[in-house]
Amino acid sequence: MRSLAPTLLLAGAALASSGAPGLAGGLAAAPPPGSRAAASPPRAAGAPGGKAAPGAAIFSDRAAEAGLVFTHVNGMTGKLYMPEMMGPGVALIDYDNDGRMDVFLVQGGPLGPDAKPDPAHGSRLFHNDSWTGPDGKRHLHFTDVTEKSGIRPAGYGMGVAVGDYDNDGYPDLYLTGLGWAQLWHNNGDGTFTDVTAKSGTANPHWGVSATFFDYDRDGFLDLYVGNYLNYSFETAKSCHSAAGKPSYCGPVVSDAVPGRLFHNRGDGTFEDVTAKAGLLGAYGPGLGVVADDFDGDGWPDLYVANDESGNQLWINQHDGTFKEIALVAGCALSPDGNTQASMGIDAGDYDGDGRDDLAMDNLTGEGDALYRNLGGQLFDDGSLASGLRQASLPFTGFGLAWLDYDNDSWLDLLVVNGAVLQIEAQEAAGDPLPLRQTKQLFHNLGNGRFAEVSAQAGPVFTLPEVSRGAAFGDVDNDGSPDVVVANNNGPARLLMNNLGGKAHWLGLRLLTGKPGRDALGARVEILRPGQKSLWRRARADGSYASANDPRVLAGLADRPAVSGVVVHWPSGRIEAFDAGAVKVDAYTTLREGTGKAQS
Amino acid sequence: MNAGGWPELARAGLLALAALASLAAPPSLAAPASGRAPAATKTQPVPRVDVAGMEPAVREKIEAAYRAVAAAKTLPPADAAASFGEAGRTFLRYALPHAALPCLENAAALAPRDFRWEYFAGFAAKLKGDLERARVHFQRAVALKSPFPAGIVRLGDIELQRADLAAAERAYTAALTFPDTTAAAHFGLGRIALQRGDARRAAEHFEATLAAQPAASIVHSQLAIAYRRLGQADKAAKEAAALGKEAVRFPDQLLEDLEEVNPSTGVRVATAIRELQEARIALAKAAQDFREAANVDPKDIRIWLGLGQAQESLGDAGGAEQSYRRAVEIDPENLVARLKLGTLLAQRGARGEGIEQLQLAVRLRPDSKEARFNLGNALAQEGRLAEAETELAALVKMAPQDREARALLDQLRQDLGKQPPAKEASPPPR
Repeated sequence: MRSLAPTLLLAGAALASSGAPGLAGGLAAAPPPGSRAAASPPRAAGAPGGKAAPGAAIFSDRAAEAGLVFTHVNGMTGKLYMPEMMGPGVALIDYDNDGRMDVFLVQGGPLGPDAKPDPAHGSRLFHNDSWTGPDGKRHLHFTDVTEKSGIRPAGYGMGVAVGDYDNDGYPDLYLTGLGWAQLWHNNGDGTFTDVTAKSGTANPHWGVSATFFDYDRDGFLDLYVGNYLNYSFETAKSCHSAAGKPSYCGPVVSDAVPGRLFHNRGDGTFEDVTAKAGLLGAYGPGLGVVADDFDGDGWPDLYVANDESGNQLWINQHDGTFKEIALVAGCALSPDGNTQASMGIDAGDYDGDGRDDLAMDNLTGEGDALYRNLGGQLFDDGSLASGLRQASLPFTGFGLAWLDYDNDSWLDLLVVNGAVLQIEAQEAAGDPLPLRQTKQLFHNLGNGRFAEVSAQAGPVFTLPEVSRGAAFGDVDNDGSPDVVVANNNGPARLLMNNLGGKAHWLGLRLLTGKPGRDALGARVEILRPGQKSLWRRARADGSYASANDPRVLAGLADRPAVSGVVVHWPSGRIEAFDAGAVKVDAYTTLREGTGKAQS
Repeated sequence: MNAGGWPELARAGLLALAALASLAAPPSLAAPASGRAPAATKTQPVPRVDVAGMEPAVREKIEAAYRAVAAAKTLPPADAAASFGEAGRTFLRYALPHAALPCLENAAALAPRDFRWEYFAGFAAKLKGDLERARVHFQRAVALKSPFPAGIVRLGDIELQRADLAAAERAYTAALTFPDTTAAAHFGLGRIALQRGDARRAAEHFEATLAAQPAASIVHSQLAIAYRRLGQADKAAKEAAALGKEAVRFPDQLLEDLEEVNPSTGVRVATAIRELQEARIALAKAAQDFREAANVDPKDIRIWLGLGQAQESLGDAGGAEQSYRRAVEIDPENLVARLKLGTLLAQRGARGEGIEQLQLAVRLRPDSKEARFNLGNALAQEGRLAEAETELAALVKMAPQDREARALLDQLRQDLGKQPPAKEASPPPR
């Protein structure tokens, strides 16, 4: 709305949000320490699963040896353009349906008002052609298949989403960028076709994260694209630190752009239904998005994490519209009532109560946020009680996910970090991109609290990098979650989990329709004799600007018995599969319509 | 509710205060223990910061701070403490906590009875994200100076961030005994209650916060959550609608001194904040003047429009709505009254009534661009796209140079499946 009295409104709207405005502003803007030791006191870490050999790293970076060689180019020229430090994302996508997760890495490239895309620095698709030798040893290998794929991004890239929009059984790619977006149809033969115009999914804005989800349960994946800011090089503002040094701007100097919801008509085309669905009613600079059935009514809802603006929880009204309730639901703001600069996000049942909870990361000085789902469209802010907020205060988080890295049946949390404001020590040391921070791994203690185990997580966790996107999934199919990290202006990392085979697990690929696509949004109850059920979700969305392995991977610790699974399909159908239908310590494919219908 | 309505808490506050005041200074962090002869005090090195690119006046201050640090080694302990302390304040002022913290810890070690250096060191540690260190420094500051209401609230905030609810409760309960920090103390106690799952207690504290400081609109969010937990959905919705960005405030002279405005540049942010604070104070005073005027002449529409504007700017959306309604009652034909009321209602989520008011405004003055734009916008948000298009098309016809209206119209037409005319297809950037 426009104002009749802009001066007065400006004064009102821009009032500081703290008892100590200047210093609190400084807190948000303050760079974190250069070293983890200086930043975060050692925590009493619980033994992660108790399965790793003493002293063994939980994760090892094996990108280079596996041929996953990719370096992001952010195009920085010294002018501190905001977009240069916001990307990139990464996707895990089994584009050829060979059962192995391939990798798509988003590229930036030259940046500026006169910059032209550099074909030598494009986004890359890597085929996972790992194999297992006669000795049972896994050999990890990737091959760059970009040229064959035909994928040619239209400009400076930001993020990626994965979903099979046309139900042909092959996952498609949606790329977000600075002022452009593309939908690439997977032709099923290793090639992709740009169907952006034909499909009606163009998005001429600065998009970051996107998600495919079937909000109207018609069997076709719809698409939500999170948009960030109205940015142009011509009108880009100059921002300064408290000492007057040029710095990257925050989101408040630009206008937020509403995200867009595209309804899949089922004929290869989409309709922009953003206004019709009510999503223009509230918006902020969107960075992280996740679709999940938060209120347990069988319909997918949408959570949007905004940068320095209240987050939104859009509850599906079952009629094509959504209602925003984040504030009264208790998941919009910090425990102090402040907005936070939310970036990465994920939904998962960390406390084993059958309801998916929200985790997200924020700016330095704000700490990670955890909203525990109480049911009834209510959330409890568990950031403090869990210990996550305190442990993450010195960091700015981006890619993030719930993952059970030690398969002890409790969802842990992994966060990749990287500042957005220059860190004074790194700047003083002459680092051209002084935004480097280390990654964090938090072990779920099973009592609502988490212990930071980054020190045991491996050398890659002590590498200060400007990490942004992260895709989570089982790259080597050993039943333990791995991570691909997309670093800004740096090399991609392949964090292979070394705990595979040290605990029991259950892997599920959930397919719907014919020939069968991943049933994104399906929720699975894994029944265990004498133990609480485990609830997991088939999802590709979440994290930051990235797409995850859509398969369900559930740790069973040292008790392999499973008495069956109940799948809550996105269509609303609920089906039970008995123990004989699933295999422990292996992946099983379950198809909608082949289980026992539940009322 | 105010502190007087909390007799048991007031008693507890006095006890907590006594406990806080008797805190022995916690053990030393990096600096030597107090009691050692100052002359033998070892000081921590102060890391260099990169001054390249800083505003010249700021760079000069930073360089001067380093010179003072270098010279401090030759000074008697008291003078050295002052040099380190002032240098630390300078670094802190420019959000350089890595340089500030050792300076301030050196100052605190050299002048162990000066609470100021401990207090500032607490802020520097907090800026670094080192809550444990911040806690120790704030504890020491509170132990050294009594009474120190602002310090007690800061200590409570740190304890709450550390999730030590019992320690935070002790601090906030102590702060409750001081009139200046009553609101902040209630806000802290409310957040603790919410953490403990005691929504009723939380609601009581948040209500008390607002009673003590009605302008603290940030509190409405927490109160909304508490009401929602209590099953009071209507009250929750009302609080959510009243949410603003105004924090709970309390006097803190040391911080205010720290934020002295530098006439140069790097402190543009601090300057702007100061200006906004001044503007807010002026707004609050204007609102009070309007209220008093309304008591004298409640039929003067200008008073209600002015009061509503001031309230809206202060984040008191509920009060503003009431004021604009009074203005409409006084003169139903007044464009500004209808426009302000309609716009505010639409912004607060009551779009149906907001649209009605805006339609009346357009009917009163069909040439009002603001009324048409806000009506079109509200209709679009309500999903009444065809009507929105009609209003915005009329506005664009009336004011072809209105880029904002053109952009919204284009978006609408796209949503409606209509191709915008070629000349309107690419609105220039705003």
